[in-house]
Amino acid sequence: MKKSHIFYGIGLILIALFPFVTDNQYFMHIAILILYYALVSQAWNILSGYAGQFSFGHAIFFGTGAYSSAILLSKYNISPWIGMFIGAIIAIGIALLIGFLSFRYKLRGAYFSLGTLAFAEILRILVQNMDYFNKTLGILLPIGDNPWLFQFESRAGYFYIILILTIIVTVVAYLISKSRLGFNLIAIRENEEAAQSLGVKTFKNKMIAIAISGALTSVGGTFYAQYLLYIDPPTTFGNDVSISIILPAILGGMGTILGPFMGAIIIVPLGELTSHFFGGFAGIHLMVYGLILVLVILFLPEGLVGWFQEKMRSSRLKKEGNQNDITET
Amino acid sequence: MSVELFFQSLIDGTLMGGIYGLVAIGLTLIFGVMKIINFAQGALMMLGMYVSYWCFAILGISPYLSLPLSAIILFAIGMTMQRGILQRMAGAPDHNQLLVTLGITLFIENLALVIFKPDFRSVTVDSLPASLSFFNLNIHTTKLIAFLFAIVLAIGLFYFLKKTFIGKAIRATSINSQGASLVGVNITKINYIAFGLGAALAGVAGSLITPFFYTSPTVGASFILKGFVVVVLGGLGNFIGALVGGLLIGISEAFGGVLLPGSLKDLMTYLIFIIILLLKPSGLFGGKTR
Amino acid sequence: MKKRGILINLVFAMVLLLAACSGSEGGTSSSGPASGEGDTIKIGSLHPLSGGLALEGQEMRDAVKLAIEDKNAAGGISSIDGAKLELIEADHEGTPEKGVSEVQKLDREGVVGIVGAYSSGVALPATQEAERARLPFVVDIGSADEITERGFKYTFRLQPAASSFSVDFLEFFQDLNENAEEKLSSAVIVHEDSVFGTSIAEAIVENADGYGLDVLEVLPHASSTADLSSTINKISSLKPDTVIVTTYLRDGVMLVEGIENSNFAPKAIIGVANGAFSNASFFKDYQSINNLVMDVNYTINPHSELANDVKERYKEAYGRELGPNGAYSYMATTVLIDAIERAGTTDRAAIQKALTETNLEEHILPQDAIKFDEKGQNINAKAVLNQIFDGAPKVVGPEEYKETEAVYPRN
Repeated sequence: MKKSHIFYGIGLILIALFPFVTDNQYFMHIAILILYYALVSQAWNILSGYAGQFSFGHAIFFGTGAYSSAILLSKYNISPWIGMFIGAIIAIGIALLIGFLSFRYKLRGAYFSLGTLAFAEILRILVQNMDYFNKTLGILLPIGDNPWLFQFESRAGYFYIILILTIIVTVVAYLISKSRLGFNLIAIRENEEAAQSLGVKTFKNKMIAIAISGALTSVGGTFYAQYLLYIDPPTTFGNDVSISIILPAILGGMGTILGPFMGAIIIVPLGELTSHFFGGFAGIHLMVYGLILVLVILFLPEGLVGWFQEKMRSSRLKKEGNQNDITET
Repeated sequence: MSVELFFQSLIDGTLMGGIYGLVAIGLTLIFGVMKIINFAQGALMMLGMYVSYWCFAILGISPYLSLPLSAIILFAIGMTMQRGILQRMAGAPDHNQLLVTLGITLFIENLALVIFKPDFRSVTVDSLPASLSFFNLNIHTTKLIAFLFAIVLAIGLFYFLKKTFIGKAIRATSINSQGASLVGVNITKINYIAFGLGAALAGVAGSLITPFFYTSPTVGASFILKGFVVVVLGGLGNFIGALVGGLLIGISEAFGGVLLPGSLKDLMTYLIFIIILLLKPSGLFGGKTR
Repeated sequence: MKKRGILINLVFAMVLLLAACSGSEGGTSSSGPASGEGDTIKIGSLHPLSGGLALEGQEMRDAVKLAIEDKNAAGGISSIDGAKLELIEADHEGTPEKGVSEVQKLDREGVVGIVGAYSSGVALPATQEAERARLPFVVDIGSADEITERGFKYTFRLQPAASSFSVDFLEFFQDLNENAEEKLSSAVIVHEDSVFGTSIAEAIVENADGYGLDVLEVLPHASSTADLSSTINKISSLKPDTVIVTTYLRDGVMLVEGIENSNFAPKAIIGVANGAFSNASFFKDYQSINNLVMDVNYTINPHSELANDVKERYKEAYGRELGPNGAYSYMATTVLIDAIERAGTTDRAAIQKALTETNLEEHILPQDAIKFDEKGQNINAKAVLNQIFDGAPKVVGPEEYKETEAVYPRN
């Protein structure tokens, strides 16, 4: 246990030193994207990976976070740091509403997925039609270098912020996975009826999961808004957003702590590499991207982390087998 | 709302509803039998559109005549997809299948972009008048044909599943695949056929849409989400239900568009969807709740 | 424990791979922004080459390519020993974060300037990234007013902003009415609901009163919509004199087709920067419905020999007609090349300075010399009013570019 902590510590220090290794804007941007996708995917993972409620509409919470802080900043001059918390609170409200409707009426599996997708579309359409949110014109945020307003002169500032946020979200996910809540969620995922008959309050646990997941996803949304400084409904509430939130966790391994991070560290560079090598032919890079996606899911159905765990298990078994041989001879 | 506007909206909504139903028929077959949320259905429909477009552009054949060809080609593509990819992940979690179909969509759409270029292509059917009119109301001819096809297909497939051996086998598989295999149904083969058929229906829908809708690599996106909504409204694997679900969406959109400001008409679709999902998740016509 | 070792190794492997692949590229351009004299001079094109906007993006990329080839054929940049230009293509796929990373990639490749980006949503963050990298960015198309409102030094825009689109339209509308026997006033605005359509529609509504335009209703739709019949039914029930249309190609055609097949015939259909009404496929494929449709758009000067020559060569090389988008990309590239020529160096700051001093008189647009104001906006940009006669567009305004008289109202 101790030893693994040291490993994580070293890993973290190495990541934290990254800005000192390179001042290259491109690598910094990619590193920021990796951490940011790890964050939102981890947040999704809590509801969908651990609790098994496969959300296909996490753009709901992402967009809520992005729009809350952006509106508060642009209309009321409230710092996005505060906006981030307010956004999270609004996201919890929306999460509880959607959760209440979905879980109260027992939406399961694909129905829950399609339901969340529809909720995301509803929010997108509403935002697009309301003057308060500047309709489809989106919100342009001011540029500056005031850290109190979530603005940084250099990319390193954004890097450390997203690093800290991602660590916090990962730790939250870790603590949940080790807590009673985590066990309950896994029990619900594996067999909801059985969990219920064993006394797990499934409705309550699922509500907690969607609230936490929604709040953390909205934090990612606030970061996105402050990082790119422009948001509009399709890039915050659109289906593509939901899909890109899901992909890292699936590739890395749903329901594992390292999964979203491992997935993000594969999928962000993958997109960059395919467009680097095949970018000269419009479309080919996305074909390759799609193909690799299919192959990965085909051959690593449990995700990268799941595959390693499987591998480790079998090699450990083998090793144990060998040791037995030795002792026997 | 004037009487004329009312009836014109009703007509347009009905026709469009039939078209949503048409798109959903293949989807509901795949969803119903294999429990796969096939995101690639829109991309397959796009391929069907290109089959008809090229037949028209090169050979001058009307889309209504190239329809069987696009059904056959898409059947083959669908079967290959099932055989090469989806069959291999039979035991995998549901969401993996969904993501695989997403990957396939990306692949197919961008393949089309590379091969066919992003240009919008259009097919015209000169032998038909653009619209029929009576009592001051207009009926879009090519949409009417697509609508009629949707009805014929829905009823035809309904009887196909009821009466034919393969149809019964497909139904048996969709209800209980283990049980079906026990009584001697070759599940693997049935899955090939079902997916192939679902893809062929996407091709047919594509061919029927070409006369009134531009063909381009990303055209599937205009229909796919509505397709899923319609499938759930109608109940999984229920063709008649898909048609009725389509009509419900089409008509509510037509009136929503006239009565609601802005682009709020799209809201109608998803609100109806969520209400049905919550109150009757087995669809409008589903018996037992899942 | 070994498990984590593998994971960490893998992380490093990925990072190395990424570093290696960009390193291989870096070899040629390691000297950074100023790639030495005698080398090729790189120009970046940042457009949506895949996804829903791929058609427009590829058209524009081709126009950038043509402008570069033209300059090379003419002997390259004469002030830098006839150095040849090289196009570096980038695809932003319509997503803002991709737009940012592609700007950085182009920066690493050592381009001296970028031409892009088509979508306002991408142009906003992409120009900001270019500003950070001190990399000149000439926006060919991108209509959001804010693009040039942020005090950036390295952002220049050839196309006018949405607010001037609407004023241009309203002025044409007023002119048309002055010369017409029957004056039209009531109108319905139909627009696609992204930044492009919405910003134009809102600006028209805001200024309508001063120009005798009475907007009955504004009807937005998603450009990917499968059906516009409710929009059409609403128009037929409102019976406006004029239908004002800002759409992309597909939805624009659907709309005109729908109106044609309805019982109502508006006295004028006028596009504003319309993606369909100035598109060659609309002229040709929809002759039965497009007669006398008008469009206020930013396109080539029909009287310019240079323009017609570019148009012909574009068609020959890429098999498509040079539309308004392509015309602006061609000119944006030419403006950038002109600045490189005058700067006489590949130093980006010098090119930026040269861009601010741009005064390009030899161009293909219907306007006076291309000049930028202190915000980087092409101040002389002008729209022309086109009308389609028997499948061919003719310029019917303003006076100096007129090819024929407008038919207004059309029935």
